[in-house]
Amino acid sequence: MSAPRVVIVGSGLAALAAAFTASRGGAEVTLVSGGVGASALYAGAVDDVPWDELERSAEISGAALEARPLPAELSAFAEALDLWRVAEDGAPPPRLVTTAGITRSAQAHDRALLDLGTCRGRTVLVPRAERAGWDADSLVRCLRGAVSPADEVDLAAIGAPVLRFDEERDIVDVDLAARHDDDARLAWLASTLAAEIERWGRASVALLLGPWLGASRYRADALSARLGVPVGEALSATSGTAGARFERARDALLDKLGARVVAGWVTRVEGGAAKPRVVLRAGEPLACDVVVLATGGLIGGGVRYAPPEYGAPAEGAKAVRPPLTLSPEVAGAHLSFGGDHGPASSTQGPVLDERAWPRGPEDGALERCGVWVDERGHLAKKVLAAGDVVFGGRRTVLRAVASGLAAGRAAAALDRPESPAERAP
Amino acid sequence: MPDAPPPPSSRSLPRGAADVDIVVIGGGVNGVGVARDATMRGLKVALFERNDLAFGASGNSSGMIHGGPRYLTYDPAVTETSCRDSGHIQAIAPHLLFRIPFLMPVEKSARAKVMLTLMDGFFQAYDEFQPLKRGKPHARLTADELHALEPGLRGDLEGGMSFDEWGIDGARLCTANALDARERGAKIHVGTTIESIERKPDSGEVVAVRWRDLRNGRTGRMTTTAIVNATGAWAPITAALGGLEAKRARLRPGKGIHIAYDRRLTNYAIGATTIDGRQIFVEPWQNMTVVGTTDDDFYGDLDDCTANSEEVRYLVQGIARVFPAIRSARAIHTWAGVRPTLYAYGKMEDALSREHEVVDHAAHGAPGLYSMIGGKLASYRLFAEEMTDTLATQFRLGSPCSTHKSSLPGGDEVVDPFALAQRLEIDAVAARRLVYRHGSRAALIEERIRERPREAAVVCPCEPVLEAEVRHAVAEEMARSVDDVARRTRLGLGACGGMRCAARCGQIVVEERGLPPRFAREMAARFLVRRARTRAVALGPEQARQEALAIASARAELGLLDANLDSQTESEPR
Repeated sequence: MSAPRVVIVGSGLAALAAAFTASRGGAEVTLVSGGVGASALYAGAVDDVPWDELERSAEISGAALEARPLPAELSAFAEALDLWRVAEDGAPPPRLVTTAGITRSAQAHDRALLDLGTCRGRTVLVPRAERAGWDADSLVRCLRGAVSPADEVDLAAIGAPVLRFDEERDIVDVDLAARHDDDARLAWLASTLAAEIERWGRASVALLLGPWLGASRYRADALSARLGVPVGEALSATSGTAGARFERARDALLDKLGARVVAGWVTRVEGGAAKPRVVLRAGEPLACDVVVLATGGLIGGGVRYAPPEYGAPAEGAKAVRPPLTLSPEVAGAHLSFGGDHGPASSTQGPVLDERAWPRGPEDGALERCGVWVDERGHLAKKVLAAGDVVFGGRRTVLRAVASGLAAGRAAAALDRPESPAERAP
Repeated sequence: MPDAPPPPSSRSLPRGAADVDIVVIGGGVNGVGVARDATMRGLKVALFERNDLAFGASGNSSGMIHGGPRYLTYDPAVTETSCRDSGHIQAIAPHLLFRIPFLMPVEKSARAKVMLTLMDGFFQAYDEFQPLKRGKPHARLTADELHALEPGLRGDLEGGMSFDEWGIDGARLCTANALDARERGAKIHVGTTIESIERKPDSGEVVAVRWRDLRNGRTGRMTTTAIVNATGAWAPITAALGGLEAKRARLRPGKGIHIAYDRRLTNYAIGATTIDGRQIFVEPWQNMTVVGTTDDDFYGDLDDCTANSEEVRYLVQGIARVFPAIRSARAIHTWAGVRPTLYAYGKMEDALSREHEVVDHAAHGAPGLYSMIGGKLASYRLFAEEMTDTLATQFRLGSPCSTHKSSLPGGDEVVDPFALAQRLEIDAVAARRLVYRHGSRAALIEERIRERPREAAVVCPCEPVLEAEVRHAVAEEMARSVDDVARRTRLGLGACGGMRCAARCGQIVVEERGLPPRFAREMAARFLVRRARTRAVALGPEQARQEALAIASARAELGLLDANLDSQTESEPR
């Protein structure tokens, strides 16, 4: 029997995870990508449950936060991706620093982010830089209030220059990060920081920078090696730097897997009794054995919220569309907006007042909207779904990856009657 | 009544007999207006505001001080006083005003020509009053002229009219009045609610108020000779604190909402008609576009009044008939205010009078207590003058009102924003915004930056707002939270909805106020959640994606933590 052909729609974390297990399962993998949404915008922290909830429950129960081991398959994926630092089993979880001046835990994190756990007994130096959103003095003040005595960390703002050219005051974070991809530039940065670090003493300091340490390479390690002190970035939710590094790591992994990548927009996915087809906006449709839909939630654009007053013609609602559409369109897919009513319960679209944003422990509708899948991850015959496009659960990196891994595994096994996936009740 | 009070005019109130002569309740435009006027006439004044200055209708209006053309047909005297007072406001706070030219398109129909002629005559009459407020005369425009002025106008037009009004930042107007009153000796207490009004058991005269600081729980009592209830739509509740029946300060609360879009979509305000025949508008307002407004009887919680999706759809539908680009524009914010309209039963909301009146509760057995009912932004100064005249008579003061002669803070001198930008080496747009908000008081912020050049840092890149202005708002303008700073500086009200500046602003507020750093995060998260809630009701396809991103960002960087983030006031250490 020949290798099953799997087409994965999307190229974010879930899609990549699906490609990983599908390839390992012996499938011939093709990714169709029109660009990345949520994965390119992730901040570099990797969780399976929102961190603030974990910390809150730890606070209430009085138990110490502990890193939980990743399942073997997830570990293998993280290793192959070579992007994250994963906490060891039972160790305290990494403590990241955010540009908002707080510390937060994570299960794993982009290697360039500074983990305060590696800075015990040290003073974390924060260089001043004339950039909007980076105020070293204020960051230091806030973080001093945020760290606990158990962290054994102090902080100090320093005056060492980190910007080389005037325009670097205004360029976006990820562009500044890209400049440090260059070895000569990194050497310059190390040289301007070295004197200050020597003055404090290497053994007693660490260095915290903005999300500027490489867009396609991990420069924190290189800088750390040059300076001889722990070096890392602060987590910034809007920088895009961690996302840029993800895209680079993804491309490398896809290369290694030998997956084919097609750039283009999928307009329709046909499943059903016949062989599924993936129809592109331009070019020949792709024929395959199974499709994995990993197009993302609202951020990725896989699920589109389109209120009728925007979609309908100006004069009267001649063509009322449901408030949610799945892009690409999949025959038979059932979408849900927040769980408690179907997409067509009102021709005027859902009233967002009460549901859009998270309220207390409840997720907001915008986070939850997605497609219904059965217990095996199918949204239609021979069409699986993974990642944020799936309704329900929490929108976290690890959950997206886990569902991608499961979907890839199932896809590779789907055409084999002897496979456990088919035998499962 | 067995112990009927003497008629109001024959009584006189003693000055200096209590802690203060007057307690003003309410930090909206009427309250701060009275506080300023009374202080200028030599009375000792304390003002208590439960939430923040301009928290209610004053800060949530259409941002216009118009001349009241709607009264022209039946009461031209009202139009005249409105226009005259609009001119007065312009004279005392020129920096806060900006011209808003209006276009009123008329669609082709059997009656269109007649309609245009009627409108022409109507605005000709209005032109008579325009010089009082430095307004330009109207023009009758052909369809081609209309399309040339605003190519975004749609529909088969017969022609239209132009006329001229002035825009204003209501929250800044309140702040300026409050600052002036304070500088002249009034005590302004924000975030402080009045819990009860004490009256003498025999005569019913007011004696004192009991107050509570809502953020730290501190309480106190202040004796006073007179009390002005300037709490807008809250007026019946406030009157009830003094043991009066709520109907003694009765009004008909009317909710009005506005939608803000991320940029100036048009340089003209455009009038439009809703499906039920009401006049609404889209206007360029500061650096954004505003659509307004609804007028619906309000039965909800005044402290927590927000726009809902239905109201948004109703307005967008009406505007889109003449200006379809509104459908694809990016809504960034909505706000709602409750008008304290004069009470009448059985009338449609739009037909209610926008007049105002001073109620002397001596007639209800509570001498010394007054309620200001009704009113509008454009005539706040006049209303305050009338209120203070009443007080002046009671206190036997000779000094007349001079609030129209003396500049509000910042209004005394014209400042060149470009020179300021050069001197401080800051962005010209930032300097222009600074000068708009502070007038000549921009010099105070300039001074801060000279002393501490690091405060030239941009905190909110959308607006933009400099660190020095945020610090100034906290140190000098009574801002106590990120929300308060936003009201005074428009920080976080731009396209990013505070995603990039709330955290930093929270840090600054906390630092200036000497609070523990953890409050910074809470304040910022609170602000972001509240902004998001008001934005969510106007979501279109693109905004929905932006919102999802905002949630993810807030989760990653701040955490959302608690269920109580949407409560109005944060508790703080004493």
